[in-house]
Amino acid sequence: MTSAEMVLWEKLSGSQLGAKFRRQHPIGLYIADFYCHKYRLIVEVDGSIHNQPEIAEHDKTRQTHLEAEGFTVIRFTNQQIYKDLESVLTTILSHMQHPLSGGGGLTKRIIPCLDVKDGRTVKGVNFVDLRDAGDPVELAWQYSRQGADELVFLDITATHERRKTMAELVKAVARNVNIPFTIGGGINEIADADILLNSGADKISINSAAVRRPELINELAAAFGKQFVVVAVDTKYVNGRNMVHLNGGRLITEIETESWIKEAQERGAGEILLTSMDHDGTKGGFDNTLLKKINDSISIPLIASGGAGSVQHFVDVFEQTDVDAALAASVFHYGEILIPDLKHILKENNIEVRI
Amino acid sequence: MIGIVSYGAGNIFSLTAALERQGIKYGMIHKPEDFERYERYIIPGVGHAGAAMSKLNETGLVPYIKALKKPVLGICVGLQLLTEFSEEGNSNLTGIVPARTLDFGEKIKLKVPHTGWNKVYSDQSATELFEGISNEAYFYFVHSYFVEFNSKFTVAFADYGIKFSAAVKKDNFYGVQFHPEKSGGAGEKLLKNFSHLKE
Repeated sequence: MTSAEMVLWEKLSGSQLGAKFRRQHPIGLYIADFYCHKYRLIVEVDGSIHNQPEIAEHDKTRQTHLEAEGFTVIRFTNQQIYKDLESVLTTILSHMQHPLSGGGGLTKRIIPCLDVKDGRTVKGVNFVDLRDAGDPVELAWQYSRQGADELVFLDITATHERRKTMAELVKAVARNVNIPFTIGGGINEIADADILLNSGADKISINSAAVRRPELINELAAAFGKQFVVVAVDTKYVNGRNMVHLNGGRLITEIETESWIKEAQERGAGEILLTSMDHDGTKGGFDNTLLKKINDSISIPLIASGGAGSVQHFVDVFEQTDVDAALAASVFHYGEILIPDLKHILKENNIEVRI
Repeated sequence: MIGIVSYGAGNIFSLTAALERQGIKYGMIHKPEDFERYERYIIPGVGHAGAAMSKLNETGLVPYIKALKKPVLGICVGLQLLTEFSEEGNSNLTGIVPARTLDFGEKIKLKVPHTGWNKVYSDQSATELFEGISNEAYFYFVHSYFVEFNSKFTVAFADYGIKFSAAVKKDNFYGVQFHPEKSGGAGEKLLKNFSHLKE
């Protein structure tokens, strides 16, 4: 080892950074200066010889090959190691993220939810610049401009009145909004979903209909692909157990929440939207205990819902549970939390967001 | 004017809406004679790559697509169709781009489908498709299969436990794994760039 490599090795040896590094480790035809298998991370230390054009070209070719094989290669000069070891180590650490803590640059998503009845938004909306607070299309457009990552529209009258489609509304949203959106409410069969898909919806969300007839999940996944099927689950804590509820939390079922979510995943759900009815409307924070438990037990994305009251609640839910997305309604509609501010603070807390 | 290859794989309402927002004119391609009416082509696609390839084969348009000399853009499964093979149903595809489409599920420990906004690192010198778009812009992805990273044809990549092709280019054939029509301003800019692409 060169002396610069010795200096670095003193900090990498013995899993000091949290994972094992090997030195002078052979990878195919190459020998990596330092290699961490857990993160497929190669650290190279370049002496002055690497400034020569032929050597530099060789380094570049080799790096391209290794990256094509899925390795990450980071390089430092001797000077960096001698003069700024701390930032060298920070850089190495930034490439050592837990395999389950979100991948690469995939961001956590912020999702405003709009309740719709007869094609109009129902919950009070208090936006300064809105001409028509009841127009879901204008509201959706505003949210997309603010930096919302996705939108959910729930036709809240659907379950009771068997309202079928919001096709016209969906088309109007798709024409005007350049981010993905999900439609929920009143979807009971393939034909319902088909109309929404062809009107421009990216996903549909099913709730009661899936509980009543779980095969619906399989059918929708087979017809449109998993990525189209969100299973929404309303849960409430009853006698020490989290139980699935229907009709907006008014009707208890005999199904335990965790087992239902696992079944939904097996049947072909592409995503779960989990709403804690105990937390919903309280503005006291998300149900992080339950969300973490569920998130750790499934392999499809999970959207947290119910309880958002402050920016800190969003920081908490991502930090404590690692869910993929957080959904809220009134805090956004009343302007209590502005999405640009929220994302800024999430970023300050090292939570990956799209800004 | 852009011709969208119509072969019944998924809905294109959002795509045409995005083109309309950008003031880009488009029409549909159903039969071989339709190709000559357009200067650019888009191959859309969602769902199962093998099933999409069967549908595309049924149209009889594949030989004509392969012979195109003007810019072609495959989106999502439309990109995957340009490759040689997909692990989804072990399907043979058009083979226009010599790369394979692989299954995330067996290679990473992360959640699948890869759903959401991911950072796309683009090589601006390799293509004008990303002109005026930040080198680390976010685009919206929804997919379970990915086109492998290829040092020759990958012009933009993303990282999801494994580095994969976010965009490829071979001659006049382009493909993007993300959905430009759902990727905010960056996606709209990319569609605009494609519509202006030099032949």
